[in-house]
Amino acid sequence: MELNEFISTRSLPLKRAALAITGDHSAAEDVLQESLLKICRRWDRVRGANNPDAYAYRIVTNQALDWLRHNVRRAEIPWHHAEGSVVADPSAHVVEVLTIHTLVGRLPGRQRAALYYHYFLELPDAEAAQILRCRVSTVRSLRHRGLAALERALTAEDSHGSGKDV
Amino acid sequence: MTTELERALTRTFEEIANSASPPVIDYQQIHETRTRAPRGGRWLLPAISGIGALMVVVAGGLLGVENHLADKNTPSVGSSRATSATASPVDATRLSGRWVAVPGQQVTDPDGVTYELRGNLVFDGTGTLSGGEGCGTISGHYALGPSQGDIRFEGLGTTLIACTGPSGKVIDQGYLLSTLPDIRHWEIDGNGVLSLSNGSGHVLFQGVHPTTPLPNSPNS
Repeated sequence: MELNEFISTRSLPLKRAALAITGDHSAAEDVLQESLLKICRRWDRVRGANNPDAYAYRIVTNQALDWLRHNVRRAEIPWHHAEGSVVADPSAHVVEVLTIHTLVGRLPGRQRAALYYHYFLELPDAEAAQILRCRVSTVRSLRHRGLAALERALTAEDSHGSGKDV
Repeated sequence: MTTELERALTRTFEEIANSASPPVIDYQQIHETRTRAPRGGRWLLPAISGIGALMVVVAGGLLGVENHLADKNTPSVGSSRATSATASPVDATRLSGRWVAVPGQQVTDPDGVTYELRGNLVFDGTGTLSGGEGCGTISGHYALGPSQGDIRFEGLGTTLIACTGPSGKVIDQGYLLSTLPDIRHWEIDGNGVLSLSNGSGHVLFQGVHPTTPLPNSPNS
């Protein structure tokens, strides 16, 4: 595969990963561009890798995590929805998505990434480990800790909500 | 066993992914990265679009190699500098507008795929270019001059929506984007056909205003 075909076919999926980790559309755009430049500089290495996609995702993930590190003051990442998003639809599904959306935004970046690669891209743990540059057991741990944090937060929200009702 | 939370998480990530707009790639920057010599300047890698040959560079300058992206003396392009000091306003006016590729132009994209070009280019008269090949949108800047008929393109980017076919193969999107950085000259002939050509005089794009009768059409 040639570089421009790789860029053409992978840019949107890579941007989605950047968006899932940063939670910020404009940051995702910047992360993608920076990542593409890195991919470009290392193209021979990327192309020659066992799994060029994993290599590209690793670059994007690192870039996105870097962005998060430099934005540590933003304790909670605001998740911007696209124009005409679902916010106007107050269905249960939307409420659920918005709630999880917000809670995912409070997780540490690596946990977000681990959850995204597992629940959206459905990558095997070994591949996620390649991307996150860690052991398979660490990937599982990141995912379990992320899920546990979400469960705790949801439970807290529920009890908070029911407390208000009383 | 998948829990309700895990299913909700999947749905949430789907929403996040769907909210991502098609990326706008700064191909100019990528092209520069690809062609930039390493520290001290020695080798230029072939350009991303395949238009660059392997070229030797000596520190501080280019040796007889035309590569406007690496040439700091090239006037940079921006919307406020649509025409250079020597390009006449008449030039800008003649070029401005939408130019649709003349039917039947067979082109070969950087992947070696040959197809009939069905693109268009829009020059807004102030230095901003838009257009496309029916797949994504090209945007960028152009500058006319310094001599009559000279033109350069910079800051080219594209959205990549719907650029792949069912097989995942990129379809008809690479030609204009890879060709425009090579364009050096423009000319409008007596039939109203715009020709854009490279430094060697090879015509790489021919277009007409949508309202212009085609040179070979019965009405012309």
